[in-house]
Amino acid sequence: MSAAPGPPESALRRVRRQRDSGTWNSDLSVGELAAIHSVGFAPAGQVTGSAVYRIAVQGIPSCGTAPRGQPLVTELAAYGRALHDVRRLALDRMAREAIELGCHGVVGVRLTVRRFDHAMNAVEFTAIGTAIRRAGAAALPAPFLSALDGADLAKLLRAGMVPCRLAIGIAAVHVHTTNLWEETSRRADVARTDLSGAAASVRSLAMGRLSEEARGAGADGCVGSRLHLDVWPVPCGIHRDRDHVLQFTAVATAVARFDTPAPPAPEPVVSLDDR
Amino acid sequence: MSGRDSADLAVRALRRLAAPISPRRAPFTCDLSVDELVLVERAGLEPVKLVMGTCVVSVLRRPISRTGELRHATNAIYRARRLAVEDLRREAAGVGAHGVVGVRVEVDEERWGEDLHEFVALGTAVRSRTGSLRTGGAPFTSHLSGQGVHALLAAGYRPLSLVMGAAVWGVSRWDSAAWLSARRRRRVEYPEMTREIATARELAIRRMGVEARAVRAAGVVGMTIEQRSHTWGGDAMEFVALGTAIRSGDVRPSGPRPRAVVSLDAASPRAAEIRVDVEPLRRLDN
Repeated sequence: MSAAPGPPESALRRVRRQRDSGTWNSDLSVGELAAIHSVGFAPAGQVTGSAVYRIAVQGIPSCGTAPRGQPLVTELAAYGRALHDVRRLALDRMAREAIELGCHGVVGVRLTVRRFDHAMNAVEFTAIGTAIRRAGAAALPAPFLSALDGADLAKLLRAGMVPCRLAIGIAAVHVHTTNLWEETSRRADVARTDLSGAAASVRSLAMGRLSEEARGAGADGCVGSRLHLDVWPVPCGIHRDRDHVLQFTAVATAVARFDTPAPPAPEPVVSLDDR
Repeated sequence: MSGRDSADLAVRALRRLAAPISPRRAPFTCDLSVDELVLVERAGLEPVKLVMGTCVVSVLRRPISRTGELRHATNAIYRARRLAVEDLRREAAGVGAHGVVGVRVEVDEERWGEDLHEFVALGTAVRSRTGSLRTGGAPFTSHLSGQGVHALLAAGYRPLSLVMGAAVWGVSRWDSAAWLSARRRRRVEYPEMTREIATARELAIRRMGVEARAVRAAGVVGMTIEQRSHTWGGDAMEFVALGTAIRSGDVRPSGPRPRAVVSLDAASPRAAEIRVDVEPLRRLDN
């Protein structure tokens, strides 16, 4: 990934112009802005990163050698890795913009996926967030990234935790079901343990990777998990069966503990958000 | 919090990030918001792992010839939910958790293909720091949020398990046509339909009650009734009653006493609402 180019020159020019102008723009709400200020940070501007990839499912195995009666679950490792790497690339480019702005972190990071009608298999991944900084503090090797909003950042810091990175866990598997299962399920109501098992394995692969990424960043935990399981049926070329491709995506904000604060006394509040 | 304290907060947080120490334990994962995380920790629990359970079940289409319970569908759907929750509980027990909070069961009827229903149970496995919730047996399950669990423990109760009751009711095409046509002759209510739906709902609640008694619960909190429509060879309605069975805790209630508050910011529900529609003034000469 290190060989991948950074943000385009036009983006860097925009960021430098923003830095030198002494003003900033962001999509923060007023409540979030107040919350960020209350814990000693100040916003420095909107930052983005994007990458367009050609992504297609590949490596679906032949079911010819599958033992009858046994479901065949194969990981689509290259496909899963591509889905992960492209998100990481978009995030890295966004982080580069934050560094250009002399920032320590990015909050409210959102990852979006967009497909194009005219270009099959071309998918654009975009990361966008608000860069924040603490005046006078030494620069970090890499800014912290958080999918949480400004209000949550303030609450988290007061609870003695700080976001460190966006942890991503993605896995995709192909499951071939032998017709034994299909026939049984045509006769009676059955729990399809073959499909449940495949769902469990793709999930555990993805969650394991999420956890590993968080650990690699020296985090103590992950909050605000966003999980998504995509399932689509694919025809099996040899048998008259329904095969499935399963894709599990998990994104969470990894947090590191820097303090164990004493529980504060409850106090009446006027909420700044409309939840 | 004074300005100086909060300024220190940012500096101390950045210092932690500048010198990353590798934690001894694997990082926890959770399905909690920041608010929930803070409250769960304050209640003496620590999140361990986001746990899930899946059950995909195929429910056959059988023609609905008479109105009444579809026993096969009730059994299949109830069993699938139960299996998904048991799967989740097993994963929680595997990581040494004492309970699972915020358990929810999501249903998908489309993505796997025809006749296949997927039930996914997910929640956050937690460990009790004080040991007050250690039961020695299986971890508890609760559908209450982090806020709910905090309030429950503060009130001196402890969660036991998620309890459920299901009833799938089939309405034959002939019956529904007869009922609906009767409307022209009689009153506005469809009395047969009222009766069938009420019976099905009562049955789901009663079955949930049986589960609660089986775990010797003092009561069930946060009960909800989900209602869903299916078409399995006719019209079918699924009723699922769901709640958390609770019992008085061994520990005395701790933390702040509950107080009644008048909120200044949130809209409070009103029994009656008066809406005034203002029509634009019309000029007389128009």
